[in-house]
Amino acid sequence: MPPQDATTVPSTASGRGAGTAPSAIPGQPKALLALIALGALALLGALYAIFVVAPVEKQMGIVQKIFYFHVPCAYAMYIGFVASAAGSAMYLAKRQPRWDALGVAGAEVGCVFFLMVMITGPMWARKAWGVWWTWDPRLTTTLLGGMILTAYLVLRSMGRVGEVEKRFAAGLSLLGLLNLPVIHYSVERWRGTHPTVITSRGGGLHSDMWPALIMGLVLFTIVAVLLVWLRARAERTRQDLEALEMAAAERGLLEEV
Amino acid sequence: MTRGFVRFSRRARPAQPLFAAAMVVATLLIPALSFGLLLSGASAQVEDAAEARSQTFQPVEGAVQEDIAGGPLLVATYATIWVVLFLYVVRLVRLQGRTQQELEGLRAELERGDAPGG
Repeated sequence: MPPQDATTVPSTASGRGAGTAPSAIPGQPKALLALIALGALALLGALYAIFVVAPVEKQMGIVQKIFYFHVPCAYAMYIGFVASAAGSAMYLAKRQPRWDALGVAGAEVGCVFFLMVMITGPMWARKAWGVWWTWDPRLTTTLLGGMILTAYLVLRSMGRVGEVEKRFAAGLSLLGLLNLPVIHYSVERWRGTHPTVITSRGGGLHSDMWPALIMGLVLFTIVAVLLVWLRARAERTRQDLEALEMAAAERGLLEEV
Repeated sequence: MTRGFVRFSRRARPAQPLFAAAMVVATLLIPALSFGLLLSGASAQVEDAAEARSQTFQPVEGAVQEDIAGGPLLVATYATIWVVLFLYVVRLVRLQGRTQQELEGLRAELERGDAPGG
């Protein structure tokens, strides 16, 4: 093995210095803080629009206000799943770790919002349909989508993941993407009980209810982007650590267990 | 036995084309008719179901009257959303901090190992 310079530290998968924190990239903390501030403002705006501006709905009563968070949660879930699929597709094409990090981040954030959709939906259903769950096409296809991305996360959480597992997981993520149009159009194409208020078949929202929905969508878009960013950053740091460990083990400086 | 079988086959053969044609027609026609009937019925059911579900949200007029209290469901929903979000952010912060710490620790260790006499 060639002698190493005392100051040499193995380079990392991301191409950054091993000890360089991702947050040290110029401009990133400011952009992150700006996004957090924007999210806080959007939160205040959303709460005001939902609880002050939007009227109580005629048939469902106050529980209809779940709609202003349930729909944005589903939208944020789409953002996560699309980010994961985009990262996975790019990883399959280019084999660059940063795209794999985006794939992992999108899948995890998408699953967090999937969990929220699965919590807010039954709360609505209990009031609207008298049951917590029913095998409605949209509910079922959403559950299927969540299960696909959960399988992705389970596969990725099995210790040190190799190239084959990464590529297989990327395929799962793309499969999850194919399910998104099925979820979206299931409410229009198949009979079910899920509301069709803001679809082409629906009669729409009352004009006083739109600001609450729009503010909710803005808020959850910001939150989803923020979470994907933070999770991808953590994944990049983990990739750096893994690359450093491998390089050190190859040089005999670290015992591989 | 064999002869009898051959005779039977010879007698039956002239009727086979008609029988086969009838079977083909039945195979094609009966499912097509059944499917058509089912489809028309299903289509009507789809329309009924589509008409029955919510297609618009309108504000209440007068006092709010509810059979199932929506307030607790609403509060539980919002609380759960914020708790899940908060827990996930905590997980992200801890994951980032722990990984960063391990990375810096390993780097320092390697630099010490690389140093002459280290």
